[in-house]
Amino acid sequence: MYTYYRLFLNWSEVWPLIIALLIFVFFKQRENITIIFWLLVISLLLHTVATYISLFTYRVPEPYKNNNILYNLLAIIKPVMAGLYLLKLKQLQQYKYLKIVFLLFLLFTLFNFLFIESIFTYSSSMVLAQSAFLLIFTLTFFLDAMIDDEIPLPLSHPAYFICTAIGLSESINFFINLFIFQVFKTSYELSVLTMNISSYAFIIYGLILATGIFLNREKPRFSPFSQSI
Amino acid sequence: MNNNITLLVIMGIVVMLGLMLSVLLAVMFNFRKKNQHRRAMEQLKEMQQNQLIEAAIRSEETERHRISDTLHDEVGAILSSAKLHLLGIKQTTLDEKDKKLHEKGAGLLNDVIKRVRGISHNLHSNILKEFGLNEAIRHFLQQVTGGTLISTDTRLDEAYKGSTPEHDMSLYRIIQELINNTIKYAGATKLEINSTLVGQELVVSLIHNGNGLSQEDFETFSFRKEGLGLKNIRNRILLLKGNISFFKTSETSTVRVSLPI
Repeated sequence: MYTYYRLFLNWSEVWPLIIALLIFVFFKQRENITIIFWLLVISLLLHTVATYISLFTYRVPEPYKNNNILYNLLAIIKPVMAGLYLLKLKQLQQYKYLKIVFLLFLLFTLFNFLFIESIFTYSSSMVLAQSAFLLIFTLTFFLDAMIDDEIPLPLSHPAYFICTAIGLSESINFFINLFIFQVFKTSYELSVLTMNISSYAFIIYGLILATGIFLNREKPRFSPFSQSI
Repeated sequence: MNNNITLLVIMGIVVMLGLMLSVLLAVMFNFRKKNQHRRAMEQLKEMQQNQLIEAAIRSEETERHRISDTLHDEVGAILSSAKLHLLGIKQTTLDEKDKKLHEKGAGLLNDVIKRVRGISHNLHSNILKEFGLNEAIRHFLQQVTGGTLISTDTRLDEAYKGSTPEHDMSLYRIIQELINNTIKYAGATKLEINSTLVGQELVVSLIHNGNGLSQEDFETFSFRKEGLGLKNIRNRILLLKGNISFFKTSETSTVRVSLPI
């Protein structure tokens, strides 16, 4: 039982994304969320390789044992793609400061990896910037939904699920990312606990995304009856 | 130090998660409130619309009654008096040509009196009040199609004993308008009117072999400026919370009116 539980947690960055992507594959989508589809594809690829490297380090050739670059790439790709999706929504287009935040994030990323940190070492400031960036975007989205007298987007719109998924996972991960090195230095138990919490946060993220994609379905892409008619 | 970091991380996660959940809950409550408000506004709008329709229909009925009373009491009385005067002329003093003119005049006057009385009764719908909807429909149908090329048939459910006067009046007016339209525009030679009481709903069907309206035609014409009759039908149906549907085949056209009673 414990083995399955470990398997469930070890691959927590992979299987929720597979579920979400399978729904994409099987059902046509009502609202256009192509950017999210590509975010999921890239995330799945990078997370699968990163998890494989961390679990089976001994099988990986020496030059490829470092998976930090993959997490750094994820910390750039996730906010950029989610940010682009949210900026394309009519609801958030009025908030000019979000574009400035987006630009600042890109500048910070360039500056950080060009002058301060190496992309091959785990950058806690990058993941923290990612969390802060995504929290700003999702909170702006929710606050706008509340202050607007009319209902800007229906509650069934996938943007709510995307923002909920990102908002919940990033609010959990924010303090973990903030103190990640102190946590690792402090104790083994605390490190395991925070990593488990982070895994659960990722599962919540993937499953809420999958729910949003499922609720946004229009019709199945493959009908078993389409040939016989 | 260890405990401080642990506490800080755990508390941080709990606080952040709590804040995010609060935001999500606030969004959901806000949406529910907005939806409730929107529904209330829609209901209010619908209520106002119904009140307006009701007022328009009531004023139309009042006007019909006024015209009917005027026709019956004033025009009818004058025509009857004219008839009396005409009949008072001594025929013995008239030559053959004048006698013929006198007869022609008297005949025309009789015809006018009958027609004015007919119009007055249609407008006033006394038969509806005294004998009920079924009899009023039969009478109206007989009156408007009598002497024309349209053959008619009625199969009205006698289990229907009538609803409120306003309800029956509105239904009667709808059927009147539909019959008038069939005679005027459809070019039908056969017209059949059926009614069935299904639970708490009365379903009236008008079936004819002319070129009737389709549902799409009805939706288009009832919103046009000149489509006053159809607009009235739509308003009355809306007020009675009923339903009207039009079906058309190459041979027959059917209008089905269903109203809760």
